[in-house]
Amino acid sequence: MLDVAIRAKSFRSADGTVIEAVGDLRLSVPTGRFTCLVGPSGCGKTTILRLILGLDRHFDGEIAISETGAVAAVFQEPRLLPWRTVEENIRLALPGASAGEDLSGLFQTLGLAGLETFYPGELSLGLARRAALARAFALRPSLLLLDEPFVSLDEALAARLRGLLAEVWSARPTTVLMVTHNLREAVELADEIVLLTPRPARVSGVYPVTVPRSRRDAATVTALLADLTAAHPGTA
Amino acid sequence: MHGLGGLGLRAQAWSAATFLGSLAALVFIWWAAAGLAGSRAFPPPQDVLAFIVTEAASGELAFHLGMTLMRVGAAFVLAMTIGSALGIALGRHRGADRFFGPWVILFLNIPALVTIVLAYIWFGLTEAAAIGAVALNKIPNVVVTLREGARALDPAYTEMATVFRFSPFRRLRHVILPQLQPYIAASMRSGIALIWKIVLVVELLGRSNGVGFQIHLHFQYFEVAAILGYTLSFVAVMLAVELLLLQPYERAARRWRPGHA
Repeated sequence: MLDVAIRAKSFRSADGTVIEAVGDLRLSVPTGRFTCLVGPSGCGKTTILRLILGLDRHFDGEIAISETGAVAAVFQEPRLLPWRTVEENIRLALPGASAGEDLSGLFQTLGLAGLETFYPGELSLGLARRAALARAFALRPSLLLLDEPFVSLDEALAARLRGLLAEVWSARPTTVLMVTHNLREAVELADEIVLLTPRPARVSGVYPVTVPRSRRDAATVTALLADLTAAHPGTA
Repeated sequence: MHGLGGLGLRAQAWSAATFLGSLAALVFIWWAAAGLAGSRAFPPPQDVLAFIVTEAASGELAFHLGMTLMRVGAAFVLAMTIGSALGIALGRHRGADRFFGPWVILFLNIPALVTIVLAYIWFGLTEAAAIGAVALNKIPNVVVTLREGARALDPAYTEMATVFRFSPFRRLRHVILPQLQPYIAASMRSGIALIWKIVLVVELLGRSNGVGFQIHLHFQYFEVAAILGYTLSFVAVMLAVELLLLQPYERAARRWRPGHA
């Protein structure tokens, strides 16, 4: 269970103006569930993830993580160490005990087989994104946070990677919180969609997706989208 | 010479020929000028070579070069280790930098000669004082370069390391040091050249062996052939260090950069 209760989070810009990034925001992600955080661009979604990850501790509120296992993140940019090979990047994220683990299955699933010894600079963005996903999955996290992991990829590749994410998630249910501004993506993947207002971010609505993931074909997703926008007018 | 590995055989032969031709031209000008001068104070290349051969045969040359090289090595390791640690610390902690910044500027501007003389006065004419004084001269330069590097560390990688719970050692080795590599290489480059010149002064003032001591000795008899002989021999040693240690290290460290060849 991930419980987020942020009362306020603001930034001071270089010229001294205070920008309120997140307003009064409460959200909880039950253990083993897949939740998507959807909101307009620039509404503070990434800030929320950074607060959950403990990368920024200057805010008013509490964040409680009851998952005891590892926490993994996939950032918006792949953030692979350019001076280490793909395989080294993934192994470095593993704790000492599982450093020698066999990763070939994971490389196979993500279409990275044969690229283990490549440096990130030699990969396309799509491949680098997959390596970043592999790094997060290899850790077998109990809490996984994803920040628009498929943004700026072509739709066919994004769809394939979404399929992979769903596959890996079903194989080993993990508590997932994914940030996206793509509603369709959220409807395809999530158990529950949390809609956010423009900055400062607040929860404007919650939409549970009850159709099982295996039955969400293109037509169903379109119908769900229509249902969602009808229930929450104003979300595009 | 960086790209030798990437050049074709022809281009490689051509670049080697240019290198040798350039050296030969320099030696020829030296020879011609020495002939015109006709003075013992400006000996021709063959006299210097003859001195090197005799000195090498007696074992003197190797001994004194070795002593100097030992001091250069010790001072270099000391200066790089302490300087890097201080530089990274100052680059990472703004408060510490504000407090110690003036000290760095002060030490940066103390002449090498003063450090050496004071080290000898305070700690006696010992090996430790000699090496310590040389290292102390170089440390502020390393600090300044590495501080710049530590300020430029990319927070994106630091955050990644935090999220994936990298241990402090793993973080240093895989996240911080690779980012500092260009700065480390730069201070190694400038360091090795600066250090050996200061080592000669240390030897001249208070050691009874090494290239600096020999130059001091031969200076008293105006033996220019000997002075040039020792100098050129040690330059050759430093060239070997550059080609056999520094360049391979940099090539290995640059391997990951696209288009590194």
